[in-house]
Amino acid sequence: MDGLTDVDTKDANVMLGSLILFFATGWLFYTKQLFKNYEVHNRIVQFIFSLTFAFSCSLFELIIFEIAGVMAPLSRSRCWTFCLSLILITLVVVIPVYTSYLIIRGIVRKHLQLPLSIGLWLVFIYFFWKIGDPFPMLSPKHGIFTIEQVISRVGVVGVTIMAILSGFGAVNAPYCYMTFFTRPVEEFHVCQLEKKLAHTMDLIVLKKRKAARYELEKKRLSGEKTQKETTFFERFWDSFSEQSSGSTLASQIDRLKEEIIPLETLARFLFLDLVELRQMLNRVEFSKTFMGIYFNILGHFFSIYCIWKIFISFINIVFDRVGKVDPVTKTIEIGVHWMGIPLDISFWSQYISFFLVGVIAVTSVRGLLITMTKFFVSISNATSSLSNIIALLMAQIMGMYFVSSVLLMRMNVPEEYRTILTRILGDLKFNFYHRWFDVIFLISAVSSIVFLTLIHKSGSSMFRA
Amino acid sequence: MSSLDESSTKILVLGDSCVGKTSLCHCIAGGGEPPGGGRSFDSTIGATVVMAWHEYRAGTPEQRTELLELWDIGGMVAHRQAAQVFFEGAVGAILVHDLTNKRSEENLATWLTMLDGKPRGAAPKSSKDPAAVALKVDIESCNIPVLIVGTKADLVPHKGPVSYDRLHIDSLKIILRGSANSITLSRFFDSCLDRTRRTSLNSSSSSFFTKPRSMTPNLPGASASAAAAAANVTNRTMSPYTSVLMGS
Repeated sequence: MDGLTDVDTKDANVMLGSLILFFATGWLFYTKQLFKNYEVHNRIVQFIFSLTFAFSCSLFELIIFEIAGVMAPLSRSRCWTFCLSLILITLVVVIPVYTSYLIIRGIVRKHLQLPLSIGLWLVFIYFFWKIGDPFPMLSPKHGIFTIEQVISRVGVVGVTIMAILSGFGAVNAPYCYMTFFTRPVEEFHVCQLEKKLAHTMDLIVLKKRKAARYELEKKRLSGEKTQKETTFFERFWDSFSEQSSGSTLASQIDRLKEEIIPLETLARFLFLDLVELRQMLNRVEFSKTFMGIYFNILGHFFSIYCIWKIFISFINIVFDRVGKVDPVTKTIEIGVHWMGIPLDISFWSQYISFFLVGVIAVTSVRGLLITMTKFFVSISNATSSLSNIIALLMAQIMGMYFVSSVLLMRMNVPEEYRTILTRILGDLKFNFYHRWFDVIFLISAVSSIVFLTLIHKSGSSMFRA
Repeated sequence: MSSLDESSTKILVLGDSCVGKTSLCHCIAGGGEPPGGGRSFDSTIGATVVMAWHEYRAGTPEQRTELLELWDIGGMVAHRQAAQVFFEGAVGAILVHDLTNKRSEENLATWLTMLDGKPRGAAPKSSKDPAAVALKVDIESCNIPVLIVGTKADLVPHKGPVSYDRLHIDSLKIILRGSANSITLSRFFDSCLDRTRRTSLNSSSSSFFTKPRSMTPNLPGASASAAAAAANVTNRTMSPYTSVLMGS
């Protein structure tokens, strides 16, 4: 008995230590990357974000532990239940409650804030439950508040987000990296556009100058007018004469202001074109460096991978095929049977799948964090309430993304670990999730291709000039 | 006595996104509220020009009414490189930061580097000491007059009195005549106008061709040195507090 509790406390310490490590990483990421241009005023949001990040990373860690066989099985399964329930509670209860509280706080007085935010959360829970109805994802013999029910719904949303992001990423990566898509932009194009913009700004300044002088004149004249005692007839005559002559000061000022508005719009469009030209110029220059050449080759591989993935998803959907063997075992089998490499399948599959899962976990965490940073920094401004809400939404998306990537990981590991994952995550219809991922991935990839083609074509008219 | 001169003086208003540059320009130009009513939070794209009247050397026999162009340049990070096209020909710059956001004050050094090309840099990032932050933004080394303004002063009422060369402004209120803010602002504008007036004062006695001592932007590559050599950029800063002797 004593030996068992020793192992228990050691495992618990390992788990706790890694949780604290991930929490600190999430905290630092929040301050240094997401909020690198502003100050963090709301520490609660930061706490919630780091908490979600910590639990999500510990899920990946537990999968790796499963495959590598670290920690006693009993404490492992206890840690699984612990982490899963905590992250689900965070995703379904904590984040939505605080988000609705933040939304309500700006609108209503103090008395009504708490009940209204609880009410908003109940509405959220209702719609969250309703997601489960149209999808055949759960065997009907489970209760209401079990982990399986919640995971199934979280899984749907998370898988959708994952598929959209992967689809877009798979198409966007070759578009950004390959030099085939960069246009021939040179320094003199930029100079030409700068000259046009400077000329437009000169015109605007000219007109504004005239308008300012007329306004000063008008103010002076009306100041003089109020000093004189005007009789009724003088005032009547003045208004009549102002209406008849078309070139009074007021009408000239109005006419100048009307002329300035389209010029300002033109200046804005020219400026945006200039920004885009400069970005393209930077890209052309970058592609000539060593890093650029490396990225170009990488882009070619990505495009091959992307085309293959689209093709496979299409085949899966059309022929309703579910992969029986994971890619790792399949590759090793191909190596052994067709190429005669003497490998012990079961021995190597463990290590390679462990390595593969680790790589997938790290790259998906890193990719998601980078995407979030770019998105957040570009749209956040100092209006702190909105950026807090967006940070909470990102925490929610991150949590759902990681939970569903654990779900989908099942396809990438060999048979014996699949049963472990099935046992942990409950009796879900996993095939549904894979099919759903393929459908959404296909839709997202195809629409990204259409979208990027449209952007490319619409930009080409400017670049050809 | 109003000036019959048809030109106006270009002054840049720079700073990070969402610090309140557009509101500040309308506040300086004399309106309590920007045209169109209400507060709109749309970010400026490119540059907007706001005209402001200023009494040059008010109270002296040389008093003149001058027109200033305040070029309110959008501060979004993606637009920064392209925004340098607007720097051409400016005789003064107002650097704006947000009093509720300390990072915007630290980023002023970046804007200053964009103005004159001198790299300012790596002060220890975590220094919370206001003196250290102020040192990083050393405006004395810049070759055009620079004024530092902190906005949203109504949100930080606990801040103590400000040093003599900076302003803390609440852009929604009019700058009252005779207040310390308006005196500092007038001195700054006078020093900017002096840099153009000087050449035109000298021109009557010396050369035919005058070029106002103005900015050329920090262009990358070899064109920078050629441009700097061609323009009459003087490195002698004029602090707003040196009094200019009449007739010199």
